[in-house]
Amino acid sequence: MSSSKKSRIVKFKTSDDKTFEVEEAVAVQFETIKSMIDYVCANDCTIPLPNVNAKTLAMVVEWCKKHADERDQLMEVDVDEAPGAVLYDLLVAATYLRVEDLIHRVSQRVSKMVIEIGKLPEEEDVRKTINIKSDFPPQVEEELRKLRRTLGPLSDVLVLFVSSGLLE
Amino acid sequence: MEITMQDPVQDEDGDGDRLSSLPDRIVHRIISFLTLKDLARFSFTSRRCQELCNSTPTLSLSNIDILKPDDILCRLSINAFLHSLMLHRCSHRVKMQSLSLRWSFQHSLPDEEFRVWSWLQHAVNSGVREFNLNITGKPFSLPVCVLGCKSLSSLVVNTNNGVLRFPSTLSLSYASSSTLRKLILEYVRMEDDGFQQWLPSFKFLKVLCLSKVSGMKSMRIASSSIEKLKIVSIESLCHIQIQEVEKLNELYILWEFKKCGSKSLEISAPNLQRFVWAGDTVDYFSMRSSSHLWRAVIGLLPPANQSRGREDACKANFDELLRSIHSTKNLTLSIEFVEILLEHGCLPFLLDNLVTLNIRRSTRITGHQVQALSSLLTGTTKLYHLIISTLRRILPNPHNSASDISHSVSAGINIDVTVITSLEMINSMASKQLPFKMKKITMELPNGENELELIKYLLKSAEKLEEMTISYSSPLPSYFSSELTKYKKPFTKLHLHRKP
Repeated sequence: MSSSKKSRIVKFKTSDDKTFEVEEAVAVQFETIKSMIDYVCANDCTIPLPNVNAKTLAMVVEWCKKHADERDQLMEVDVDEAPGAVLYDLLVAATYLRVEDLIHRVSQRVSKMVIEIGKLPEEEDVRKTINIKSDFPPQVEEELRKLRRTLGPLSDVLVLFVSSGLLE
Repeated sequence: MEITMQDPVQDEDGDGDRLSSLPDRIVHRIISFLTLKDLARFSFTSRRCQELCNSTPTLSLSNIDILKPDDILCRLSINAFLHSLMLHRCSHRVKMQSLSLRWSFQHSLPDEEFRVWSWLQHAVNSGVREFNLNITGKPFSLPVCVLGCKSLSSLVVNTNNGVLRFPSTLSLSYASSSTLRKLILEYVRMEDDGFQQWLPSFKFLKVLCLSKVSGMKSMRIASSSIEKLKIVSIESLCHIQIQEVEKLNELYILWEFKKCGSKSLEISAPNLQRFVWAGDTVDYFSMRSSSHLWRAVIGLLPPANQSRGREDACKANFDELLRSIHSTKNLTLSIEFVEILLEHGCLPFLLDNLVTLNIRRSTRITGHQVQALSSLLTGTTKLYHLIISTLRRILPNPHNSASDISHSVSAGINIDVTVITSLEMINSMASKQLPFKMKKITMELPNGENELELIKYLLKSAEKLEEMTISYSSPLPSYFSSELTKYKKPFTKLHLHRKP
């Protein structure tokens, strides 16, 4: 980031139809965009982002800005406090724009969520909290429910047993 | 210039099943952080999750977090789960990218080793590229299929100081198909020379790292392909020989030992470019110097026992070391080591290729160290940039730590005295010696120190100095910069930076 060179601006249009102006120093961190910056700037194009909304893009930009000078620290807080839905948006955006470090951070955070949720005794709760819809056939569902009723909270061993059974 | 979106995305309302709607590769990434138990639970939530768990290219298997000692039922169920998982992957031809196995063989079932081997074999068959094996509780023999794997590029083995065995040399021919590029052995105990015999057979091996390896007295490293070698803290070792390594360009040795028997280090690496050596001083050192060497970092501790005969040997070793790094352009030395060099009469030494010299210190530089530094600087005729940087001590100093502490505890007056005497010494030194040639000095001040006398001395002696940059963390006294302006040459630019 040389200060002598005039910083260019890259324009984006988000899924909710808002135009975003992003400094080149930030935009180069988007692997997907990197190679097209010269073209886009020269022709005054706007890059459409059909799957990233304005709120999420603002977060990604903010992260990249902070990330450029002060690694890790700041974002730990920002990402850790974000609610689940925001994290998913962020993950989709980061994957689409290919911001490797952000993908890593967020997926690690989501995995913690999955683990936390996995610790709850009933999978109904598991599903609710991470928003997973069960697509097991009704008879399997029924089996599982019966098992749960008779055994109470599933012990570690049982989880392994049952899931190994289900795999076959 | 059109960007299309392949990945299905749900509405913002968040009602949708967000996790399952993410593209596979993202979910795989998320679940790559999960332990086996969490993975099993997760796979239990929906069919899609189950598929995702079964198809993940990065698998980490562990029984360490789950296992209760002696619990056979638990053991059985883990093994059964993994067995069916592997079978499932096998029958669906799921590709595997990396397999991390953390396994405890304590109280293991009779067939367990065989099972683990079969999982490794399965990984090899599914095109695995990275193995990360962490084994406890039993001597572990590396299967031949791992060493001969045609897709493997990185292998990390940690046996937690347990015995690691390499396969019989009868199967050495399998290594010819190996594509291994990176081999890391940590906390392993090797009781025979199997490793040394296998090593030259890995024709694509570029990076080798041996860290905390035990069991061996001497080690000979020979490999025609290896480019980077790292040896860290192998205390039991007495002799290290690095030979027949034509392609080696980076060598990193951190070797500390409590004194037990004589230690020797022999290096013959004709194409070495970077060389880092820290730790204790060996009794015998030889290095066939490389004319390609351009960067060296040396931070050796003083020799432990200073008997008369030893001193000569030490001097010979240090001379050999200085000779072998003669071609280097960029050199980093700990100030303590510069002091040792002076004490052994190795300075001044002509280092006429040196362009950048970085002196690292952990505390303020003493008068004696300044003397050593100035003696070193007289030999650096082409030096352009001198850097004096501060860092936390990499190695605890086993020989002097007690006296160091008492020194810093007595602080106050004592240190002031040394500063005053050293100031006189410095001034007389500055008048006697040849002027330094460097044009640039960068200096980091340690916390709360200003080392004004040292800076003045450098300003006085460096006649061609164009730029001096000083960075400091705690506030400097008000007279600081005016004092420096008095000493500097008119053409010297002075920069003061405050670091957060």
